[in-house]
Amino acid sequence: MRSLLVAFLLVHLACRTETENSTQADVTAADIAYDAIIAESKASRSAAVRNFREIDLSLSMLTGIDPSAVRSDYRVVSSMLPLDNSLSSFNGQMQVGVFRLAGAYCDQLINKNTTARTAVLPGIDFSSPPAEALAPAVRAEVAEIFIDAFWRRAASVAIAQKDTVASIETFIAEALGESRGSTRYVDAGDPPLQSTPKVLFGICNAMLASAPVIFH
Amino acid sequence: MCRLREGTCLWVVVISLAVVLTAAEHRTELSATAVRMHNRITGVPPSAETLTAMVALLEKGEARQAALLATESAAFYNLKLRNMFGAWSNVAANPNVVLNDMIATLIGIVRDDIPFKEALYGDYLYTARDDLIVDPQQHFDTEGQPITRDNQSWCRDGIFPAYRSDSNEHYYCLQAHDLKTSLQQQRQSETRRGYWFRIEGDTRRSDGSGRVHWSIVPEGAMPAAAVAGILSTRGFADAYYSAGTNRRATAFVLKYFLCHDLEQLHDVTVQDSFIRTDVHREPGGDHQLFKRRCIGCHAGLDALSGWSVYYDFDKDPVKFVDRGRYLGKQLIYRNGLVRGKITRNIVYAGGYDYRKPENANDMFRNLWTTGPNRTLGWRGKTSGNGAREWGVMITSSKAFSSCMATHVQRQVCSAKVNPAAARFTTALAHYFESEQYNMRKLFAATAVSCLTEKGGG
Repeated sequence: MRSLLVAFLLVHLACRTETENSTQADVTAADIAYDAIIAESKASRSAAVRNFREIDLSLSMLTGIDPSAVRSDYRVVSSMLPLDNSLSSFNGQMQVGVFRLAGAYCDQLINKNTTARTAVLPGIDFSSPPAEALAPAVRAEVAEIFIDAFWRRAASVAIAQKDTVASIETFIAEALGESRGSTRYVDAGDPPLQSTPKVLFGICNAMLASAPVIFH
Repeated sequence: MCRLREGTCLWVVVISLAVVLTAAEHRTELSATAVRMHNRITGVPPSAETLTAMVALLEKGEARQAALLATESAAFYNLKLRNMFGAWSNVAANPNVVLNDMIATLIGIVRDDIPFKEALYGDYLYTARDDLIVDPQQHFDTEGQPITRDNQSWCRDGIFPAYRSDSNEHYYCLQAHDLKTSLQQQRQSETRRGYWFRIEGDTRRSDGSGRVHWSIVPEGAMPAAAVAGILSTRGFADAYYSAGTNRRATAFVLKYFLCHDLEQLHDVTVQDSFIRTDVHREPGGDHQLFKRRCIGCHAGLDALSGWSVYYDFDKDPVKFVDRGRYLGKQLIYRNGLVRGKITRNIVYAGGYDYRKPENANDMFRNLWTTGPNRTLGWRGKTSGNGAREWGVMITSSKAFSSCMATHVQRQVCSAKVNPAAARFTTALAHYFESEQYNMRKLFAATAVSCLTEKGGG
């Protein structure tokens, strides 16, 4: 048994040496230069914001809605969107612009384009009343579907899954008027929403206009 | 087997579970890395298929290949490159501009893996694919009268005009298409620049009757002597040859291709014998001010700007003389003829005068090869004639490679390039040169090095 192990190690070492030799022979100036980059790669990266074109196409890709469907809305808000990727130039007006554009895409996704809706948000029942489609038992599942559809594909960082699910569950409860005592997301004076698409539109709009989507 | 030794069995289960969890965690991290790389390289999240493929490459340790895969996304061309080059195409550095031949040509050069240094001297022009063009003859009505409409209506009515040297309508329509698949490489020296109108007769009378009779005359290609990458495109001409003295064109190239503003190149030790006649030697009556300040930029800049004196952006007066006309402004180039705007202002007759026969040419001289600006790393010829040789000189410098590395670093890493990152920039510049100035590979290598935790691949 021991001799077998020694033989295995020898074969392994022989193979390794052969591989290293052949790799050395194939090394090009470009490879050496590339290794130098990696050696210096403590270089810095900092957070960035998507610019006007990138936001538009990102929302389109995430919702499956063709940009032409929201052209008129885009024209209205395009001057409000970031011109470049600089985080330091991001301001409140830009956030408003992003929110309005996200609302236009969500309107198409939730209310108008059933094909995209089925593809992007599978498993959500849009036709049943909120008491059924957004019953407490399925809220976490609904939240997971939105996270998968919008954040997991777009976010450059790990997502705080539990916190996000909890927030969406709270939003649904408040939107349906179940927990207005400790309201966080819905104005206490607003009447409870009676329509499932309206609640889902709110989730969609909030998630699409959020940091995990517009920052990267 | 587990029944034999329960303790062993428990350890096997625990270790297996740990391996599975670690693998899942590792995969989640790789997925986030892939999304991050795609986001920064293209500006948008990856499609499900691209994400899967990128994660698979990352799992195999092939990070560079994963990043290169992201550069094959259409968004890399339609968003990232268009924004980057769009900002270069106008004085205000605004990326939100209509596509033009300069932007399209730069994008095409990257797409086709052409050494990026050829952007300033290569014989390339990127236009829309022929099959996208729809009935260009509809530019004219049935009597041959040119139809004037705004840009939008051309495209809205299904018309896609062919490339013309006196209009940007072609690119206005092209920008609605995917630039990755719609661009077609052509040679400036072989591409017909459109057509112009020759007036055959004018029977118009005071009562409004009669009409002007036109014929359409095909226009030839750009003269070979004028061809110099984007320097001889209409978009560049519109932004940098329009009015002025063409010094703006030189300053632009120094800013975007060498990453140096004129203020950074200020050097009062350079000889002032090439400063043109339009520069006052005693501004405000103070000659010392000229010696201390003006020389700093003009001495080097004016000597360097000789390459551009044959270029202009306007309606072509020669065609007017010939009783023809273009619809709009275009790049004008007359070999051997220094443009009037260069020689118009004489505030100091002893300056470098392009009206003198011995000076009436497009020779340039680089006076910044000594002194503080030698650090730009000039290589090869430092004087010559015309835009093409000038473009070769600029892109042969070390500063060009560093500058491209800096641009890409800003795009991908969003990092402010500071002295601490200088070694990283230098390493990227070396890599860029060793990869034959391949811009896609520069994007990929930059992404790997600043977006993955350990680089590699």
